[in-house]
Amino acid sequence: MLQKKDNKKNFIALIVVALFLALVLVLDQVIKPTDKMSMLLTVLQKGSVYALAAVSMNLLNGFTGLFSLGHAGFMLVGAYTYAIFTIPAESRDTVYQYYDAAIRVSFPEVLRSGLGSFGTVLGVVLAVVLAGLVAAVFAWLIGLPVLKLKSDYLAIATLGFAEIIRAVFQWGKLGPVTNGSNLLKSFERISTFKLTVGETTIKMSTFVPVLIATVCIALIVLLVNSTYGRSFKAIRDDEIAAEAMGINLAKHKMISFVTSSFFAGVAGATMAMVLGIAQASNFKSAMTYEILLMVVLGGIGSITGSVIGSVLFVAASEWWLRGLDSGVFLGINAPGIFRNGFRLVVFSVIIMVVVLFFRKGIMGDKELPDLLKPRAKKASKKASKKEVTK
Amino acid sequence: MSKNILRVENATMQFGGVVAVDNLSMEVNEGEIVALIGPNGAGKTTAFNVITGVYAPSNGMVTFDGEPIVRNHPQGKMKKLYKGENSTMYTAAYVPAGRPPMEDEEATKAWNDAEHERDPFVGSDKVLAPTPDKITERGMARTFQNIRLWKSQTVFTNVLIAKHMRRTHGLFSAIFRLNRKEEQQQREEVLQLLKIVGLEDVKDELATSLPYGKQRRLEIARALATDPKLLLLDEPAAGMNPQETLELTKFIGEIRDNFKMTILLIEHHMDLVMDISDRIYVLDFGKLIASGVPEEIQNNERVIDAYLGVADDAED
Repeated sequence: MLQKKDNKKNFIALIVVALFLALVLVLDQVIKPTDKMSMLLTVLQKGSVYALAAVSMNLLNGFTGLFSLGHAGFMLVGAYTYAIFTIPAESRDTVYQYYDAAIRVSFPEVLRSGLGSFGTVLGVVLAVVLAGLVAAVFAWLIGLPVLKLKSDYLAIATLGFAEIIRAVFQWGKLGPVTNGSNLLKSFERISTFKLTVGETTIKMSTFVPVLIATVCIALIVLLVNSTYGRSFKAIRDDEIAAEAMGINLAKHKMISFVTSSFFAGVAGATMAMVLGIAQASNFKSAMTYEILLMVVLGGIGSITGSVIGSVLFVAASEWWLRGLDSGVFLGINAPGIFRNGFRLVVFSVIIMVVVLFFRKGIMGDKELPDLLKPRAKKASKKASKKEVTK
Repeated sequence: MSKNILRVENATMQFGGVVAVDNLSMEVNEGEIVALIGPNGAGKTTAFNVITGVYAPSNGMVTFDGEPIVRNHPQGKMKKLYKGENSTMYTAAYVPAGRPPMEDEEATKAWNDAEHERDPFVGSDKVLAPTPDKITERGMARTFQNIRLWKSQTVFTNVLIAKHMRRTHGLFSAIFRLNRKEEQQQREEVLQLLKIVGLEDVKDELATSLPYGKQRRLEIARALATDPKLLLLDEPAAGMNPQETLELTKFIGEIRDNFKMTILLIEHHMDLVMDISDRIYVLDFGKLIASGVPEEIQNNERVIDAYLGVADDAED
């Protein structure tokens, strides 16, 4: 009986997610690029990239208690991997104008010749997964020496990694692979994602990044709520006790670090396909801090919080506060005050206010289902029964 | 005589110039409650940490359930091997068959002096120093002097996490919930355990919101959840009032009877120790000064000098 109740809950969650994805798909068709509301699509695209990045960082910093600042580095690896393996053959030489490109495989192109438009989709998916895997391999190599470090030292070491990897990717000697300090472009990007069914064309430029983020975040949620996720929280709360209770610290920290970096790589790939370019100089440590800010704003240790935090962050900085830079805000026309740079001033003040009034972030360490549960019920026996079957 | 479950031989733990545990030898037999007592700073907790693998001992060997789990280990940055007393004895990785029981001191000495076929690792640098989690996996679980519960977790999940080690499924099955059956079974076991230790009614409370005595109980329950053969309790009655101590004494006895558990405990409350221990080891300045049944210890001159005399005055 209790099992059924649990299944029902999962079913409802699945339906909500499906409805949301359907809504995004509809918005994709309805809103034209010239519309004022097209900013909504941009926010959804960038928001999903940052949401995935924030949630994957939260897995490491919030749930396992490993303070790592290497996220931009892993995203860079993911973005480059995705870009390199999706540049079509005819533009390969234009992109690598100063170098002789070493890798000349484009997954979507190879698969398209065999499988048609379905092949393109499969090729993109493969490239995204490969982006995650390459980032994960980097994480494993870095993790071997670095994960023995504690708190601040780990942060410094991973930050150092991110900076080094950025320099390495810009290194001229690696030009045939990474195109040196020049940007990578012309690869598969969201505006080219279309599905043709008979006469009608279905645009998927927002749907694809949102779908990738949703699937990945769902996987992270499943991991966090699994027996491994519980062990991560145990390591965060008390490492010595965790080890004494038979949790292999090195192994579990590595699992968390590698998984987090895998999804950071996927986020990087998604970012590349949203922006249409990949350039190492974009992945500065400031990007890591931005993601960290989203995690902290949303609440360390809350996946819902990270998603809300990053979507609000992107919406505020890309859309709602734009007017502060261009003279007109909320109908007030004051070009003297609302000029370039004022947006950042207001933005910083808002962040400070949020941090002051929500000490533990917007969500604290709660998730969405915790908020829907009535308070009185929580203490009663019904809640305790749920625990058993969860 | 019943089976020997834990055996510590000539364990020495040196931190720089300080010898925290000096040539400690002791053993715990199956089904016994053994207490390790001694004044503050006598090295009791260090001995515990050597046994559970937190520290690798400078010299000596710990054997658990017939298998060596820890032995002498090069110390410090220079990887120096201990050069003191008995330092040549424990480079072997296992206890050769035919070694006489340790109580028989003469036979042990004769055996040590005689020529034997030693194992192939004699004289090699092969180090045996597993991490605490590996030792817990072998069936030794401990509690801590200063309670170390996972504070963001409920009572139920605190115990459930301790079951993680006994999983048979990998990461992939865990993510895609292919381990439902195992998970369900573990949850039922945890519930059963909480019922036995009397924490069932508070199982959804945060672990740290419990009163002190119950937190101690929870720590013991968590240790029991790892399915140990030997339970090590580090000052379970620390900071408890007489009433709580009395309850705890009863509780420890119940654990022994219900789970057929062997227990090694460190304790300062003499009434608790004298009540429930089958045998007692007394440490002072890292050295073993006495061992025996409670009555012997109570009347031992050296123990009274070092410890009980002072403690009696303070407690009465």
